[in-house]
Amino acid sequence: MLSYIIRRLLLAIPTLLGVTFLIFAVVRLQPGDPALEIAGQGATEEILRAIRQELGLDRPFMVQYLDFLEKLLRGDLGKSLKTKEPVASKVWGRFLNTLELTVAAMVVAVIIGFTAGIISALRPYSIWDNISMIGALFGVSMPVFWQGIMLMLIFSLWLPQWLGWGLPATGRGTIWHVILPAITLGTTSAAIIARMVRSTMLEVLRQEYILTAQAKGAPQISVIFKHALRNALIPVVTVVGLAFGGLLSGAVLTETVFAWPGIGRLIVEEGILTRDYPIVQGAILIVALAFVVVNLLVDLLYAYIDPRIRYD
Amino acid sequence: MRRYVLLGLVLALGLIMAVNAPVGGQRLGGKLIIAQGTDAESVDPINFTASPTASIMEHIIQTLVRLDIEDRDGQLETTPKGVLAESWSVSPDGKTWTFKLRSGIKFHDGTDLTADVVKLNLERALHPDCAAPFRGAVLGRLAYSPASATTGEVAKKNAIVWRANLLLGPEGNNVSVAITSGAALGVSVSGSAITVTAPAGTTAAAVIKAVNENAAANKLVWASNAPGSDGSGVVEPVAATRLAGFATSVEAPDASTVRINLASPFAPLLQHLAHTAATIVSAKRIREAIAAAPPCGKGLQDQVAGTGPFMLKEWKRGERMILVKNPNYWEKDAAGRPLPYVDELEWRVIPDDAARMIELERGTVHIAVRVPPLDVPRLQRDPNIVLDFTTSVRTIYIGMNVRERIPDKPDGAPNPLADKRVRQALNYCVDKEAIVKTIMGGQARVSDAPIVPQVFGYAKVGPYPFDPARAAALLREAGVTLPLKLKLHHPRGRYVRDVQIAQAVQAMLGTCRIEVELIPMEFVSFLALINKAPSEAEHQLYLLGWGTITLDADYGLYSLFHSSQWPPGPFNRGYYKNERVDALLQQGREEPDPAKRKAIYAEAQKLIWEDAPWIFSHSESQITGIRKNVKNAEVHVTERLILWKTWLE
Repeated sequence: MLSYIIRRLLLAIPTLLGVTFLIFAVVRLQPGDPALEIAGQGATEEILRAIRQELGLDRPFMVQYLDFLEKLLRGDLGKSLKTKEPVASKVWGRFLNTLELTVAAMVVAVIIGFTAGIISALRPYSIWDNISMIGALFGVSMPVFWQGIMLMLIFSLWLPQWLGWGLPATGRGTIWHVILPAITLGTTSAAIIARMVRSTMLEVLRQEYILTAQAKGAPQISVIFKHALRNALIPVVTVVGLAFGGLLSGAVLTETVFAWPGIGRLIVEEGILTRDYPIVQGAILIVALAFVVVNLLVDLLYAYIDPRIRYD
Repeated sequence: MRRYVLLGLVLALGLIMAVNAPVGGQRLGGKLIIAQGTDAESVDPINFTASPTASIMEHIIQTLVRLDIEDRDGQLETTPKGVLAESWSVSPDGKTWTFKLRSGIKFHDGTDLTADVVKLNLERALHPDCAAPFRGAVLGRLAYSPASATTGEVAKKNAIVWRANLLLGPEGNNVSVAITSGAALGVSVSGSAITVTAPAGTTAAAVIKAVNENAAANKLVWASNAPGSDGSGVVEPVAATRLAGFATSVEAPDASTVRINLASPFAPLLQHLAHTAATIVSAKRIREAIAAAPPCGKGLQDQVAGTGPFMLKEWKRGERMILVKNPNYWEKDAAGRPLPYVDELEWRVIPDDAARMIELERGTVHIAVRVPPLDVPRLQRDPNIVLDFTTSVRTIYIGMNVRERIPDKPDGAPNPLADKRVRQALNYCVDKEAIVKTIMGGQARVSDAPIVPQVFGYAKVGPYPFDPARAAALLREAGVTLPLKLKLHHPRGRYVRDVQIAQAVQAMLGTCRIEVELIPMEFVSFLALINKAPSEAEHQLYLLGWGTITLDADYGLYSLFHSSQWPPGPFNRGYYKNERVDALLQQGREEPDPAKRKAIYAEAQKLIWEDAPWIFSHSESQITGIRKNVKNAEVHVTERLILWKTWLE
């Protein structure tokens, strides 16, 4: 098991190396000059030259890349072009904020997704099945920015007017602050999980061992959760893992709507829009690393769910 | 005994009430929450570009002077008022400015405000190595001794060429320099061209020294010693942006006197010193920052200390910045009471427009900037919200390349826009009122001059009415074959509704049989496209904005209409040239008398309007949502909030 984990972690190195190269190239291929962004209105060519030289942007691409790798090996993600702050600390704090939001969103997604999926699977084509599957369709189709604003209108603006109590609309702070963004971010995943649970459960419920369990008089609840759900879990866990990774990197819209200080907003607002290359590089590297780790955890979880799977 | 307890209670209650009681209507205390769309970039005057940052910074750090705008019988007057400077004077030749500092002012870290601190701040802002964003445009430059330039072999020829190229002639004109290899080191000067011959192995210092000796003999001035290279032996003129006169040095003859020496007179110096880029930070903090990140110590981050009404307490990036009241703030209100009135300012970052408005409607923030025009009717119905409409200094225009040929060389295509009548026709053909009404939702002002009324020197010279018949007549008179085909390059998402404006202009010109091809571009590539010498420029029409951030006509006119300001580098991107305008703009820069300056700029604007090098469109409005219980919050025309005289009810 341990050697498997080590092997997987070693395999992550070429993946991350590929990621760094792609990001390094892509941020430099996009139009725009960080010196111009830093200098703003009224910059002279002379100032731009000074900025470019100071930032090392006048050196060849490969020299810049190798320099970046060398520093990376020492755990140095570089400094922000604009504020000169170390990228690593900046990125890490923001990543933890996004992780907090993503975990909350996954809790929402798993609770709603499993509940709706199981109910649908137990009573296929019933009114409950229809309601939850139409709900799932909505969940997948609703754009995040629209859903976010609607939730805010209802729970933060109108509810306080009717009841004198509501949820905070934007920002991060208390547990109440995380509720609306977590629902917004988790809805799409909830919908996908619900459909996945439904279809795999339906398949498992048709298996003969379910019939056997029912025949030997096992209580319904134990048949559903012990015999059926556990066997239906493998593909669902895969989906949950992928969704988790996706949310980590794709929370930017939710973060923007709810003014959540996460890594997605960092990449867009302070990285891409101002051409602050080191921030984009550092942030995407962290997100890629998180993705790799989540994938590994999912694979390890397989062995726990299905004891037949062994990694030796 | 009981009586005394009671008396004590009454007294205590009285004291509490006295503290919280309205003082002449102004209530003290409380926390004022402001929502902006973006976070501050830094709290460092040499490292910011945007107005949301300036808004916050000016509550912490202060300038020598500020610009007050007063409405005098409908005429807006911009007057410089002393902040850290108590008074100032200028020498008869206009080249030496002397500032007397207010006494007894302390920074938040307890250090004193002295002339040395001001000198350190200005020199840091002006130092070429620090590459401060507003250095070129706002602050001008200090000439450092070229002897301190880096040394090296002549193999580093380009660096020397670059240095030499920063020499300025006696009139402030650029000098072109060529370096050729030769047997002995020699420098020859003819007119504004310098030729340097140098054998291989000569050190850069030696070349610079030789050029320098000649420079002194020929009254040449070093503009800067910024390192760099331009890749060729023969050098083209560097960007001739010399917006603020050439500050040659800053001196501190005594603790309360600051002297700024200029190479040539520069009347709007006060306006430039009122810009946030010239704010003064505690010298202690600057030295600490420089020690941490040499040579300039960029991004003072969380340790800034100024003299302002508020002190930085906490900054959570992307979330909020909290400022607390400076209990020792020096400025008093008109009745002699200490400022500021509120205890705390919290600047929240809420990027999404809709979410920012919801927070304003909930009352969880007191002030929200950038109200989307579409939300205006709804918010106006809310009895708890007051909307503030203040013009912005940003003018939106469509520039025209006015050279005879495009590109401007013998085999370039003839350019119909070189004819003034055609340019006027374009102005008559575009319905600016309609653009403001339909595209800008009424939240803009049709331009009637190249600058807005709040800018010193503004004179109403327009607008061009919407008159297609007149446009047609002018086109006929100019002998243009219709349909006339033109290209319009424009950015996407840089200015409010820029794409829609370009589309409207296309449709309107279409009715005058002018077929416009729209070419939308990403902003930075767009800037690169129009930042070319006329002999290489391909652009015809280009949509752009300009903010006259110093509130002085010089900044809004010189760099956009003076013929020394052609790209690459500066901003006269249509290559407009009118000798009379050139002369007037130069005079305006040097004339010390404000009344005479006004007359000079009025004439210049009249000529520019007549020549029509732009389609003059509109200036943007800033719409700010303010809760009703917030009193006396000021929205400045330079897109900044002024909150030290604000109170909460």
